[in-house]
Amino acid sequence: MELKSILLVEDNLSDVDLAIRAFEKTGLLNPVFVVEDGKEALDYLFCTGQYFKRDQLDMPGLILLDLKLPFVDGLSVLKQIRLNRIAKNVPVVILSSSIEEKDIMAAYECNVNSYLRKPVDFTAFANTIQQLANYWLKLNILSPKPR
Amino acid sequence: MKQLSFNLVVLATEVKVPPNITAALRADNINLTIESAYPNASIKSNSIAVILVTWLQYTEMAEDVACPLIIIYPTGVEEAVYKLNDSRIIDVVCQTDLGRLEFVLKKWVSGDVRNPQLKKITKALAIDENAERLNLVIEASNAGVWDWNIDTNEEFFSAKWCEIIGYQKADAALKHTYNSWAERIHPDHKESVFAALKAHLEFNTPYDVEYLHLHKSGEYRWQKSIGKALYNEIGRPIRMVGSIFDINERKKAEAALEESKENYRKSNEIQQAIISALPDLMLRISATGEYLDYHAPDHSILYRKPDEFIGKYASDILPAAVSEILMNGIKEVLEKKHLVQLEYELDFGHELRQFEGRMMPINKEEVLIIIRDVTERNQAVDRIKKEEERFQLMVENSNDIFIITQPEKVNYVSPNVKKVLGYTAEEFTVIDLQKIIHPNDFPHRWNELSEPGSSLQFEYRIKNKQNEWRWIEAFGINLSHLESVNGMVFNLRDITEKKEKEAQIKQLNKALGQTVEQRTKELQKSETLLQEAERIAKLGSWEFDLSTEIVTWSNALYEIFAVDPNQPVPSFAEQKRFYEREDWEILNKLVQRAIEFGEPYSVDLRMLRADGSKGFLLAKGEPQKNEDGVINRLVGIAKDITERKTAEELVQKLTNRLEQATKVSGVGVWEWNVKTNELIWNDTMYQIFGIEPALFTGIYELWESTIYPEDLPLVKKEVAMAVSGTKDFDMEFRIIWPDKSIRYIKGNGTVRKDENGLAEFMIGTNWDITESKKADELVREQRQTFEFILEQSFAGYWDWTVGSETIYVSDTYKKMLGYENEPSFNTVTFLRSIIDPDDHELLKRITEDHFSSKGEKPFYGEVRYRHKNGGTVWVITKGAAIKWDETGRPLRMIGCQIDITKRKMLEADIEKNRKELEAFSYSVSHDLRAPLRGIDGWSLALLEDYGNVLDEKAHQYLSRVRSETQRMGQLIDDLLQLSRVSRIDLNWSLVDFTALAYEAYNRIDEAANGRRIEMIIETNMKVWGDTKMLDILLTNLLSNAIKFTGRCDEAKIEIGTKLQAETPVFYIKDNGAGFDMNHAKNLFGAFQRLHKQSEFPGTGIGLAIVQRIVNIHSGSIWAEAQPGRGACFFFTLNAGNNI
Repeated sequence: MELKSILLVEDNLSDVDLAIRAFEKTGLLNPVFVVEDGKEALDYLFCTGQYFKRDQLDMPGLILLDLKLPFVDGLSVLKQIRLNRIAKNVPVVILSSSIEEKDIMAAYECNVNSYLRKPVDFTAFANTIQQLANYWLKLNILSPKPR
Repeated sequence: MKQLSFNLVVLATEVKVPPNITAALRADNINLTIESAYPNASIKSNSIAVILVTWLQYTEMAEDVACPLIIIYPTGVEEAVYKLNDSRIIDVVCQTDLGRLEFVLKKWVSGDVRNPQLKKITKALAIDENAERLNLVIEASNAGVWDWNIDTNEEFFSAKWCEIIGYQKADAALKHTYNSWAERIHPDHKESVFAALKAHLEFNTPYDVEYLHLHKSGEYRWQKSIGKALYNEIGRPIRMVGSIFDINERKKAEAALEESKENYRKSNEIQQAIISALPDLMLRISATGEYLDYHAPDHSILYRKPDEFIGKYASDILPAAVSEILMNGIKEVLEKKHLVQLEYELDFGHELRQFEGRMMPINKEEVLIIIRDVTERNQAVDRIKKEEERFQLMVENSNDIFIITQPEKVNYVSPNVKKVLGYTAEEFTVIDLQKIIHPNDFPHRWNELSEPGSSLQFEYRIKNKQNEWRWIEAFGINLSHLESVNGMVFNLRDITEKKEKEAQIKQLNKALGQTVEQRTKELQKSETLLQEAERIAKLGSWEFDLSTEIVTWSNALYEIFAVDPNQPVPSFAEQKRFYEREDWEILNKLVQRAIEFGEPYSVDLRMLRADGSKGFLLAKGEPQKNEDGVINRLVGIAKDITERKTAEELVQKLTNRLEQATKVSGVGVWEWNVKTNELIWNDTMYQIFGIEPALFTGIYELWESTIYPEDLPLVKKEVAMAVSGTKDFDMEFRIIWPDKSIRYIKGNGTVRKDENGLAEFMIGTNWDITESKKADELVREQRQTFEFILEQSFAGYWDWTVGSETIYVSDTYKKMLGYENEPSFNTVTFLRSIIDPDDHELLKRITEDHFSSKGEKPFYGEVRYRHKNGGTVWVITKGAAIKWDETGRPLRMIGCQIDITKRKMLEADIEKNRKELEAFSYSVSHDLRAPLRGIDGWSLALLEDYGNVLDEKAHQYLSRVRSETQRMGQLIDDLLQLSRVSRIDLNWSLVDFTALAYEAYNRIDEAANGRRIEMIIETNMKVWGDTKMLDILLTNLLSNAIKFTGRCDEAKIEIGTKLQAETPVFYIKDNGAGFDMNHAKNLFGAFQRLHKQSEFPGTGIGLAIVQRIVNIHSGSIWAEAQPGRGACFFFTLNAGNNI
């Protein structure tokens, strides 16, 4: 079976590398695709801009989304995903440093699947990533592709 | 006719010859004896044997039989039957068709058939090769072939036949029988088809039918069927063959054709009808002007007879001018291909007629012209025009004004209104009738004009342009039902002069009438004067003859006693009933005395009138003597003095009451005889003026002398006005007492006039209002004081009589908004105009709430005003209705207003700061943590990836880096929480503190690695507060307790309350490490730590958070501890309000 990809939306390259390192440690083989801002994330998902050649129906199996992003912030990206016919059922997990109540509330208002805080401790971070990937990519049953 | 007898021997028990057959034969003089001879047949020679055949039986039985045979066969054996070669057989009948027996027997009897040769039939039935070929041809055509065996009723249908009705030939549902075909025929067609079939079979007429036949689809389809019967030697039809054709399409087409024919016919008829109904002449004319064709409703419209113009040219027929118009029209129509209209006139000899033509092109060479005679229409138009002109002329030259009007609007006023009333028509159209119609004459009867067709006539005075009153007679008619008018039409006529003449005549008549009347009256007067006088005076006279005891009354007496004048005068004794008992006794006594001693009398008596009413009577009597000096009669008068008596009584009563009232109320009553200058006071007056009654001089000037000099001129003026009758005396003034003290007096007075209209008396009241005046002044002073105080506090004051337009506002109020010198500031409208429109709704709501809740809900709000200089002024406005009427409606409302603009600005600043702080906190949580994650992560990466090349120390250093990083993370989190505690909006509720403590403990305990801790939590602790805050508080304190008991063998933590100075105090006590109170000065400050990081790690922020939460809950917190002996934290929440 083809492995579902992970879309990581994160502008802090140090965090990106740490996340990839964490993924590698989990032993998951799913390809990880990184975009660094909200606009690129949308372009990727909806096959516009530089991604116009991408197959529209090829959606990632999981989207990891930071809230603070250049150009288009994480919440807006989430809203757009939920409004899109093809993308709306892709699991989105917010991965943020913030535990501000209003951020969490807003994310759930936009029907986020899960909200996780990036811990400072990398071991804990790696654990988080591992559990996350394990749950969403192995245990969770994805919604069938829209026809 | 010869009687024939046959013996029908039925050789098979299964055959029952139907009785109707024998009956039918008998009618033809054929006697049929039926006997069953089977199995041992002994058959006479004049018999016919009817044999039901099975072939075995036939051969067994038939051998001995000499008579003719009719073979009855069951279905299925036809072939064998046809092959029988036996000369005795006269016919064969299928068992299912026994009815044919009759036919067969009749034929036999009538001698038509003798000894048929069946073999030949068989031959005839055989299909030879030619027939086979023919069949193929038929099959190839669209015909379906059928072949009906009449005896067996079986019928063969070809594949095409089946196809026509929608079946496969092999379809089991389609039975190949005659019935299967017959049943499918449309019920409406069965009769005709069967008749045709029968006729063909019996008389050999051609069989060619068309009928609807049931298709498999369930619809009926048209079929044509033709066929021909085949006969055997004896001429009996034994078979019929034929073909059918599907003619459904043809039939449909026929029907459609028929329909369209019908439609065409109808539309043609309609067109014809339309054309013949047209009053117009239609002409078809060629491009060259040749008349080709015409249609005319009648010939009267034609300029020439048809035979005079058809085929001729317009130029030959019509006058040159008309012909030119026509030809130009034709040219235009043919060029431009659009409708062209033209008008022309033709001389018909006895009259000129006008025509209107409309031209349309028919094709390139022909034009259709529709011509209408418009002579009459034009004449009518002319007539109307003339009528209108005549009307205008009439209207303008008449002295009547015509007005056409609708309820809201005057449509037309004839121009002569200028001549009659001086107004131009335009002026009169818009004039307000109320202003120019005399107020006494304004017609109130308009409603009589409300119905269409109704009319109204009335007279009124109207002011002309020169401001003179003119009498106008108006006639109005409602013509709103007439479309041309749709309103009311008035005709106004100036009748002033007529009126004046009428008035003169009336005056003359009146004068005449008066003279006549006067004379008549004078005559009457002399007669009735006496009676009249008596009656008017209610005075009656009487006489009592003592010798006859007869009493005589004047007419007035009847009236006085309310006795019917037609009754006889009651005797003296009877008159008892006219008086109260006591009064009668008095009268009786007086009368007796008058008779006995000759004493006259005069007495007031209470009388009881005949009608039951009561009254007073003045009775006077006088004895009279005869010549002999003997008293022989009494005469006297009786006067009804009821009114006087009643008035007297009333006056007496009133006087008493008034005297009482004035005494009690302290009202002084005075009376001044204007003529004599005499002044009368009641007792109270002396008290009010502080004057000894003995010193009272009784003249007007005395009163005047007491009046405070400053007030005197005004008092004099008021008195003068009262005397002259301009107005009653009513004013307040001051007087000076003999002891020089000043009193306030309120005085009223009214003047009584004599018969000449001159002031005679003036009576009135005075009362001392000094006390209330003083009270008023006190109130005024108080209000000033009050306002002064308010102003000192910068509060503006307002006072509003609910519903009025003006509102009292204090100077401070005005100053607050920059309007200190604005006199118009005291109106509600003005205030509204400077209140921010966004706050109108709020003000309306709090006012309505305050009123509708009868003052329960406070009138309180923060609203914005626009300062005169354009700035915004925020105020708190607060007020209350202080007076209500008995129905609960507010009457008066007062309130004050405080300028809070500065506070509002500060609040805005605070809000701004708060926002900034929030933004800062937010970025702390995001941006400060991110690098920490990197430091930690990459340190670990270094350890993991390059651990083998790093020595022990490097490992240690990197571990330090990681642990410090994580501590930094913790520090940021704690700081964030601290700042959040100050920022969050609180949600107050009654919190189950006990439950909250258990929850917090369970949560922390999970993280405490299952250490054994003895936990004691007091039951049923409840407190008002914010659940989330209190949770943070408990969590922090409990975490501390668990942390600092970490080195105890038996940790013990207790949460509870105790009362201290009647205030409940919460506490959390542990037996952990404790601390030195000497170092605990800043215990609750941020970053304050009392333990080494290596012993008990921490950020030192937890207690700062705890203190802030306690502060928010208006409580206080303190601690008691000793190193190594545990710590106890005490705190109060919500001081005084705990449960």
